[in-house]
Amino acid sequence: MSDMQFDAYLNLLTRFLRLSPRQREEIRRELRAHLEEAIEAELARGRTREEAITRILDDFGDAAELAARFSVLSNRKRWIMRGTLAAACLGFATFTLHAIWPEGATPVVAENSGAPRAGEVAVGGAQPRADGITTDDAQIAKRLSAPIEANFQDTPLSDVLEYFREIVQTNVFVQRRQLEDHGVALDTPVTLQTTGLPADRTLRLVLDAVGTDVPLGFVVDQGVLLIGPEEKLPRRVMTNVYAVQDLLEASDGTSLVQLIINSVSPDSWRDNGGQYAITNFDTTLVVRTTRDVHAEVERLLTQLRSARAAGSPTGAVPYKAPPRARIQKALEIELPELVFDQQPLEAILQVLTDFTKIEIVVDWDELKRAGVTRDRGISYSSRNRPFSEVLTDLLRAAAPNRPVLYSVEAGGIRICSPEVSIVQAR
Amino acid sequence: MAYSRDLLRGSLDLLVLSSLIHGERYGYQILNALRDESSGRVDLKAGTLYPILHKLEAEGSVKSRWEDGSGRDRKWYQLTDKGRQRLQEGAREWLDYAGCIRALLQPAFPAGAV
Repeated sequence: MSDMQFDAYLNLLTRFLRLSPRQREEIRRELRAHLEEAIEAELARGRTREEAITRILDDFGDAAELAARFSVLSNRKRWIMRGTLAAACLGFATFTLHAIWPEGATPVVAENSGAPRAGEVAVGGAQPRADGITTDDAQIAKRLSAPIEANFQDTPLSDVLEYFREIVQTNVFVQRRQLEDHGVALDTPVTLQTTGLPADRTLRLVLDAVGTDVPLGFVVDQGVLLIGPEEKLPRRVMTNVYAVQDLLEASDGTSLVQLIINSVSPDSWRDNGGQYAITNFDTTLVVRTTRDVHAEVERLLTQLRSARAAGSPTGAVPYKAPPRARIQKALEIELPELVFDQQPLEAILQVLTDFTKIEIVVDWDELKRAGVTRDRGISYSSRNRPFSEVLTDLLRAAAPNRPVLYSVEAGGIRICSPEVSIVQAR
Repeated sequence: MAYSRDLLRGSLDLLVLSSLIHGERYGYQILNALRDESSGRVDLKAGTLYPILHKLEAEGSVKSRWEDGSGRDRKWYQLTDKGRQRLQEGAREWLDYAGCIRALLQPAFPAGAV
């Protein structure tokens, strides 16, 4: 045991704390002060420094448990972080390794530092760093595509972005100045609830919600997840060639190109007045676009392949209807008799979710600007009408003057105000 | 002998507030004061105390300041009016509770044993 041990402990603790960076720093400073004070007393009792630190660490208890105590007791609006469970386990593994590491060779759990140093241990093989922090763009992209849970209730934007840092476990740089110049303050409250959406999709919803005057975006660039106004982000355009012979069969590729243009970042392609290009050449697709759109194209192709594999007799992948299609289908379902008498909009939507098992994501901040609040009481009744019509009527009732629409997205239905985002149901 | 965590749980907030009744203290001092004044029977761990202080501060029962200029890094806590009021109300309730429990547990022993 050494002082380094205590630093490692504090680093781990800080990582687990579900609090604002300022609060975390405050706690860290206080515990360090406690350590200094307590060490003196222990030394006076004739203990060695090592013994003293071991005793004091014992007194603090398990880092994760202590962090949970701080966070649970906190009065702040909290958010669910089930998505980072894996990251937390990784942290544990690291800490255990530290505990048995021979004195003098103790690696430090460092946050956000650069390349791996000698003495660091890779846990689980796939992680390039002992602490799970990656600077590998492919790895970051992979983590961004994993489904997460988000539950933000008036959570400050800075905390929300911190959450994403925890999930992706990489360096996150927020272009603070540029954001503030565009009227986006880091303490802007975010309210959003999603389940099972990929991290990047969730992040986009968050950025859409706060970027009212200017579109916000993010980009993974050389080991950093960069967040800022879309126009200020370095867009690394590259040309990739995708072999798609297996997806073509009868068609010549034109329909595949059209499919991609329709489903991935539609406005960015030249066909729709954008600046990026996609061409089919022989049995390949030549795509020139940004790095993150490439990632989405790749994801789509993978999905197509697994759908196809499932359709063929030898297919080992179980067939799963594409979520979007499933939702479209659910919208056609006739709902039984519904009677609402001045019930809050939020509760009504919850009833619909319970009924249809389709997630309804509402950006309440956005709706607020259209004059709709979650507790707006709504009276409405219907019988045996399709879900889609019920939804349309309800939204019309909620906002008689300004249209509020819904859109179908992978994973759920999103309700938004078209003044801000124009995504009408297709 | 130190009291068990289970027994202490409901009164921890009050004990911490009570330790501040005579003025400012920092975390390490609070631990020592509680231990000394209870003859070692209330021996909180640092990992228990600091989250409580954090919560008490968030709810406005205590306020804190960092010591400056002395070269020593210390976070001093003091009671607020709200904390003082909470302490009094809580203490009244606890003493009443203790009396009640005492009466209820009395039959466990032969007459006059407690």
